[in-house]
Amino acid sequence: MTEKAVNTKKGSNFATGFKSFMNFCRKNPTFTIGFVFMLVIAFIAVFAKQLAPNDPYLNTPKIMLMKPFFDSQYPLGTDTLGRCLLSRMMYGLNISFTVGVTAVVLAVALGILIGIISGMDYPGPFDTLLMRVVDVQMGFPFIVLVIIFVSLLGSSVPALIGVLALSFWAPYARNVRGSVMIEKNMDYISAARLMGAGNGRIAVRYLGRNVVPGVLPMVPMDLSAAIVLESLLSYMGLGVQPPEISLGNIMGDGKNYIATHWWITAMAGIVIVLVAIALTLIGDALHKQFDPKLRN
Amino acid sequence: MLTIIKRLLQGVLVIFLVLTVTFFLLRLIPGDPARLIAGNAEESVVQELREEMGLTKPVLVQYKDYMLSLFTGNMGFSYFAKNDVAYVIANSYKPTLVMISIALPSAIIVGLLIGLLCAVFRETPFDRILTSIAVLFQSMPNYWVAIMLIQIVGVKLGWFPASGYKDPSHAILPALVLGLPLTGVFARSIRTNLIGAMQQDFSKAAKARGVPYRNVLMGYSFRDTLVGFLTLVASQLGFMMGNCLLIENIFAYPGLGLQTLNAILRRDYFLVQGLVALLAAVFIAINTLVDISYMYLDPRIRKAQGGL
Repeated sequence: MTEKAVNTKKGSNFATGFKSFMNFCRKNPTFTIGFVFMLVIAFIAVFAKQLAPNDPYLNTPKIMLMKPFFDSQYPLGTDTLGRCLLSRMMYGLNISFTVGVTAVVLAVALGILIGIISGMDYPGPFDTLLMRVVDVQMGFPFIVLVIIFVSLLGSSVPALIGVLALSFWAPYARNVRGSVMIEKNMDYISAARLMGAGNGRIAVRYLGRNVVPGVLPMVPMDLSAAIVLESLLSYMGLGVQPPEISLGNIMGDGKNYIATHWWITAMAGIVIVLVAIALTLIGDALHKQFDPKLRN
Repeated sequence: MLTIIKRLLQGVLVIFLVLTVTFFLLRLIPGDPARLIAGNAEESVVQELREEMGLTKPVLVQYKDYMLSLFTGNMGFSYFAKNDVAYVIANSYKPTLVMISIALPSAIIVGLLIGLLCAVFRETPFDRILTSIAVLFQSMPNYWVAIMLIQIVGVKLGWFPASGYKDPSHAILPALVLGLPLTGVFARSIRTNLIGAMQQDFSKAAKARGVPYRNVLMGYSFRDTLVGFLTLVASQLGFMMGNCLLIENIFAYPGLGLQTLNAILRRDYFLVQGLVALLAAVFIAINTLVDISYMYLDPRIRKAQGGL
């Protein structure tokens, strides 16, 4: 709490912010582990093209299905077409991250926007309508939505991002709406209105600032869910299409040889498990920080 | 009582909306069910089939017909199963029900146990190991776990059948895949909430009055976490139904999930509509039941809602 107070007082001061962040890291070792791991993974994902030891698209039939940890040229072995698995996984991380991050950012933005509009309108007709949409969204089986979407738009990266964003926005909207309904009757909002602030200004400068931190802890968990879902859809052949590479694609390719060459599927899966664990640890720490009931 | 009736009416409205969205989305997506059934038959045959299936009528008329027949209890006809939708559903709900009724209770029991142990022995190595296992359970993508389990337990070790459904033993591996992440989620939630409740004043006061530790734990702290736990279980049920679809697909497990997936791929319009409506109805029914049970479990909510 104290470091947060300091933070708001000197919000622009980078050094103070960094110091309080380091303090937070020291208090939450699990957060630090997750955060550092995610930094490394994000670095690999962003610079996949520069870091990859081999061309991930290059077929070399001579060395197909090489075992991992046997050859320094191909540290994680090769797949059925003799393509370097380590390089493929790096490129796959790149696409998985692009899809996951974009989808979650879109979902959060959409959810906050709809939540604020809905909460400010409550108990108006707009709010009722939007909340029924949220109900429908949450009652609709995700996979059905995805299959319908993919058959409608074809399976491309933008379609995938759209589908994932559409399936994550609803809880944000509901959460933000709830806080807006409480906040909008507070004195500081009335004071702002007296000073002549319009609905738009209230929404952005006053409500937004107080409501957004409440949904931040949900972001890492949803990012992890988005990355897992992306890999799932690509695995099922509904997501990223070859020759583009995603972690799900690699697993899908490996599936046909699983009886004899199980490590292809296993390794790509382990990368996703590690990413998911790291994001869970980050999300937990944020939950603890933002939820006063759990802080002790 | 009024609250319950209101909730039920809202639920019917939501089912209606879900059905409407499904109806129009299905007809928007490319793919002609008559062509899919007829295969390579001549165009005149396909046209005849389309007329028989009522596909040549304007979409809005089809919509009106469907909704009206739904009110008389007729869910339509599945042209692929060559039977009524209600019959198809009645024939395939059992494997799914068996799978869920193995997965959910075991996940709740194991999750509660792990969470309880972690909270009692909090901040010890024992707690850390169990919590890490729970995080692992929660983070593993279920389709990956399914593939690995089929390979290791089903094929290499041969302990349990890895595909199809003949008797409940076929449900064990799919139920395991369904239940593992839930166990992790439940255990972690119980641990966090229980630790929180143990530090609250009512627990401390009970301890100060000389109530034995075990009674404070189970009768005071644990009881306080139950309402939150119920919400969590209910919120996971939605995900669970989505996961059934996927898990049944991987295990070739002939339940409602596999039916749904096949029905969409075959553009079996009425069957998809029936299944989606069923899923939405179950989802809403569970949420309503949970809301009602809150009133029994937590007197504060009962008062706020104006009693039963």
